[in-house]
Amino acid sequence: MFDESRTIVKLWPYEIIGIFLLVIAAFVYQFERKEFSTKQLTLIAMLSGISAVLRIPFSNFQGIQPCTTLIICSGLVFGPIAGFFVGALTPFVSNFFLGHGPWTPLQMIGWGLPGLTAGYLGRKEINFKLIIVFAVAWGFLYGWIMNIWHFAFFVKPHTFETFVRTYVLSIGWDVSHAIGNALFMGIMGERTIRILTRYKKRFTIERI
Amino acid sequence: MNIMLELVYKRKRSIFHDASPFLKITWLVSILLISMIFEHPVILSVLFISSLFAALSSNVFKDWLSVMRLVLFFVPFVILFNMIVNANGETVLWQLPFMIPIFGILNITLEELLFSLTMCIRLAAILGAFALMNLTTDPDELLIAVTKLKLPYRSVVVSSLSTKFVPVLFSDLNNIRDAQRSRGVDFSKGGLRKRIKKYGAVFFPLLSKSLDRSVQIAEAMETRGFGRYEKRSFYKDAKLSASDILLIAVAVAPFLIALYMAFSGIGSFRFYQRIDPLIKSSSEAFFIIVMLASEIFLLPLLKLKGVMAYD
Repeated sequence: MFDESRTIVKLWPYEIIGIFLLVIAAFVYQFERKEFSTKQLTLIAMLSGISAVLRIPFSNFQGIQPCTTLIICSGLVFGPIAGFFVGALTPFVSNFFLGHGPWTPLQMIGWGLPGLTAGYLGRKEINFKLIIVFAVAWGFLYGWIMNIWHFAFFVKPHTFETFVRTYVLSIGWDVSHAIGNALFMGIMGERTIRILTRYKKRFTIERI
Repeated sequence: MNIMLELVYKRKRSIFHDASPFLKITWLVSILLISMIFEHPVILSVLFISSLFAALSSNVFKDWLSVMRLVLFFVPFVILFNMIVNANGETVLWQLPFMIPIFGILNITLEELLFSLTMCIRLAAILGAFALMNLTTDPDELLIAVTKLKLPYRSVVVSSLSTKFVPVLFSDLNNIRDAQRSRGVDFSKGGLRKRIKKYGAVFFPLLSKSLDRSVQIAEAMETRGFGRYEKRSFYKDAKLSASDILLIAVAVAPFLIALYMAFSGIGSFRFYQRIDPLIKSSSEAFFIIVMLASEIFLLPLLKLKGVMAYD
């Protein structure tokens, strides 16, 4: 039963959202500091636009979404900061059509981080199977990030017990998201990376 | 799918459409912050009522309602979730007749029910304010206002470009889908794996086409001198008039009242183990009424401004 002393952490929803907004602000600062050409700016805008458009028809199917694939691929090809922004702008833009709310900052982080980490992953030569594992892992991690919001907003006594129960209940969604990611990445991933790499070769200048 | 695209800004006349974007941003942020400070069901209802009145007076009520339907969809989920996750509250309303291994006895109590409903009201208040903002504000005006607020310029440009691409990309998507359909691709058949493969027939052409388009747009921007000067110029200007500053002060007032309440300990609400009475003291009632009045007071002022500007 409820016991005040067992409250592990006093999580208020606005503190959670504030922390996530600060993280986003730090990335925005990085983005502003770095030199981007106009072509790179429109590229980031276009990729996140495509990703947002892909999300809208799939919004009814919980979890099975192609946008994580596109975000990871753009991170792999164009680097961490561009990957993060493609990911973070996806919910920001699509929520103008699906509904903005207090969950937007968390979704931005939940989709921005796969792009960011994929950017670091893409600096080395990697096996494609590893990328599929990576996509599956982010299917779960995205769900766990979103659970923080749910836990802070909709669950009242924040005890260890309710925390575990919240995470146990979300397993169904997380598994379906992970399966969706694996399928999309396995079927469409390689070709997407090829298209993006070709584009990158066409429009970037290397000084020798 | 196309219903989603209906729920965006359309050019109309109403007190909220004509209001300055700075005012609307202030109003939205004030409602957001108040809804984050309090967990009190009555205060959250007051916020919801104020965004309801604003929607009623701004000619987009039908669209606004269809956004609100989303919250109704949330309600049973939140109640079910709280029933499983929580085992708190004294007043048991209903109990599951059998035990579940990990979770133990499941029951639904009055306290859980009220907590779930209150959180849904909070969600409705936030979503309602956001929806009204979306439906009544021209994205261009919002971009200018946001740029004038000295927010990071390049990030703002990228996000607004991206938002503008969405309707164009949507019509592209539909065109490509029709083209593939006329070539014999049946999108409604097959299992999940096959469907995703067919989905690629739309996705890859869309991707290559849009990448080319993004280069064209970048070149168009460069020919117009994008990024050439430190300080940009504006095609349309967003200026603050004296009446706007007055209205912004009115929009901030509820938030100041809320801050005062929070610091003097009025308006806290406990759900567990037993719910507090809805109104605890006369001073609480007084402050809630003042907050409601100051939220609604904005609307006749906006109306007055409209009358003065166009007659």
